[in-house]
Amino acid sequence: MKQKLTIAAALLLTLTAAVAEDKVALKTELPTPLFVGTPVPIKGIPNLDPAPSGKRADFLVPAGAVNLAKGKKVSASDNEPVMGTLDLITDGDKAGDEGSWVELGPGKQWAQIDLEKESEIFAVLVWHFHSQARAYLGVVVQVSNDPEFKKDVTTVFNNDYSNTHGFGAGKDNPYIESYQGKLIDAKGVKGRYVRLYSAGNTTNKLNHYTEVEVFGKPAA
Amino acid sequence: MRLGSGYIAAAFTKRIPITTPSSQKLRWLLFFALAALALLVRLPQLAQRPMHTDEAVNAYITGQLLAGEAYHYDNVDRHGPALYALAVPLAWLAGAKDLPTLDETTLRLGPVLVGALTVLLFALIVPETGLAAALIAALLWAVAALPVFYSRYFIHETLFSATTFGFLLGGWRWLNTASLAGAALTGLTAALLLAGKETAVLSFAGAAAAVAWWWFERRWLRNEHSGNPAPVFIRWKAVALALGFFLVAVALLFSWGGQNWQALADLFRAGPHTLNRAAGQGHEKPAAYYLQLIGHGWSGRAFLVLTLFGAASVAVDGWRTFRRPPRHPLALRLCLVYALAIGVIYSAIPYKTPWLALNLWLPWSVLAAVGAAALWRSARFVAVRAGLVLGAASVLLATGYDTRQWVFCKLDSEKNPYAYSQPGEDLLRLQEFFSAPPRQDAHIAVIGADAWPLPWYLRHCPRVGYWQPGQDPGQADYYITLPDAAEQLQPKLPGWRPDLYGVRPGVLLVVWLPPDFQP
Repeated sequence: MKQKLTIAAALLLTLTAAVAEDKVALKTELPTPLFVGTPVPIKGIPNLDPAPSGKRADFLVPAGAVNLAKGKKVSASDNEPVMGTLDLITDGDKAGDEGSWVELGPGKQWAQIDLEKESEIFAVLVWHFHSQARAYLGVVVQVSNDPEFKKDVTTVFNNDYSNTHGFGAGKDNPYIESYQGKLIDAKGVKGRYVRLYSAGNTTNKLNHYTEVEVFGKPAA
Repeated sequence: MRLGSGYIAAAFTKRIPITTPSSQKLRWLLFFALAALALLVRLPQLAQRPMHTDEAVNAYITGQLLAGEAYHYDNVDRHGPALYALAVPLAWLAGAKDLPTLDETTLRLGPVLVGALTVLLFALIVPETGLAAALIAALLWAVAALPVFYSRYFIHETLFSATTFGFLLGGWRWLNTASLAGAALTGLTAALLLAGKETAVLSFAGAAAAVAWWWFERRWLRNEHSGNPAPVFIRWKAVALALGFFLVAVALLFSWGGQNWQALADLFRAGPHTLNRAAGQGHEKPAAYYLQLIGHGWSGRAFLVLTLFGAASVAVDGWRTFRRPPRHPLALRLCLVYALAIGVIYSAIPYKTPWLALNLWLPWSVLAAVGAAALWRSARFVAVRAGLVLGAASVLLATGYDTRQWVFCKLDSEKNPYAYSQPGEDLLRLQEFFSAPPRQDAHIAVIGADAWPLPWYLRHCPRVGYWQPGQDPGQADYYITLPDAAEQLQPKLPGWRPDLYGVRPGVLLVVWLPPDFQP
């Protein structure tokens, strides 16, 4: 029995090593931090994703995975943003200053990125607004091949515990915005469209996007 | 009507106001109309801005007094009782019985009414400034963003400004006429000032500087041109009357009608705490802060330019006193000295909050109005006067725009220069969450060193308790932790979900939802 377990563990290690060989650390350029921690820091809270203070631990993605969202077309539930334009979401500018982000109207809103072809998605990196400690409410990220998001929808992140958007109570943790962005593990889900929902934030009812990066590979 | 237009036209062309009975009546009519305008500007959407921490503290004390609790003067953290003496009767009239039955509109109505009535005080400066300048100053108070914004705030500042105005008017009357009524009014308003805020001592210092100047002019500049031939007398009877009114009013106010005499002893011991606060306590700002705040936006810059012009006009005229009779009366030179003294004192103190700018704004507005009227009188050509009318219209438009912008449209925005540590609307979400019937009766434990303004937002929850970090709150249905206390609950709440709420920009709190929580 002990021998079998040893063999199984060795096999698992070999397999992991093989898989790891194909994986590389996700690389992205980080903007200048505009604040470090909250003015009165929130710390030590279980189930709350902390705002990273140092460098985030490497997140591995398959070699060849790139930011598929860069320069791609963005649509939104609010076609006339309060401030900025939707193209700011995929323009590569992650600075926290005014002029780098788009402000969608109050309450429930979504923004959607068209990757132009079905892709295998490994990670979604979201910067809502990082010049101040705040959290966005009811954050849900979905992937689908349907631009209307009516069928074949995969939810890769949902911290909408009060079910504001109607996708069911989310189990993911709330988090405080930071210059490092929120990294969401998409686990290789396939789809052409990425849609991000939110329902205001802890400072006001508006919804902001500075940048969204979608790391993946076009599906074969 | 013809009399009215002629009267106003005369006010802008002559410095000395018309003082016939009919013109007196019209004068008051004009100021009542401006007071009505001030009320109209201040009243709409009073409940729209979330309650500020200081408002919440004042509301809590008002709620305690309504519920029949005694007033206790806290010389460490709180101000005097004047605001509550105003708020409690208004709350009674509105039918409030305690904190849960209070609302934002009822509480803010007091400062709104005081702010509107302050306009009438400008009618009393007509003999010194002329009608035009007094009307301009009253109009500025009625519609400018800074006084309007803080007239809609349940804090002491608007009442304090009105009382300061009354104190200065009373003091001037006392100096000018040596009347007993003036002395009594000065004593009474000085007591109201002190019962408003401990910063009354700064107003007293400013007034002392003005009195020093008055004495200097009378004693040293007295000559055939000065127009102040009277020697300086001290009427001890008047001094005793002023002091008597001051002491009785202070005793009555601070002891809350004789209910708590301990407050008087606490008042004597307030000095060190006030000095501590003046050192900053996290509110330190540069010396030019008030100048920048008052000069914010186009309307603010125009206000500052007019103030400088008015101050220069009064100062130059005062300098000429040596050689010929002055154009401006002595009261305006005293106003200039007071405005300068207050500006220097408040700017020199490290502790600064935006509402304190009202203390500078009030005397400066009189100088700005004097400047505007002097500009008009100095313009001799029609083209220049047409230009001035255009300029005045532009300033008025800019003032209206700024007031609309900061008082109504962006009232809690971080870009609003008057909104200071303003709680956002997220606290209304918290209030709504705990107002829902299944949660209203829940046992809520709030843990944090400074929980304000939560007692206001959770006032409808009867089973809410507050603990300091490190204290054990025991069992509760929900926990709320301020940032400084979040860590201590970690081992106690396995499986509980943290939900984030914004207290004010950059400061978050956590509401802990139990594992079986159903939205």
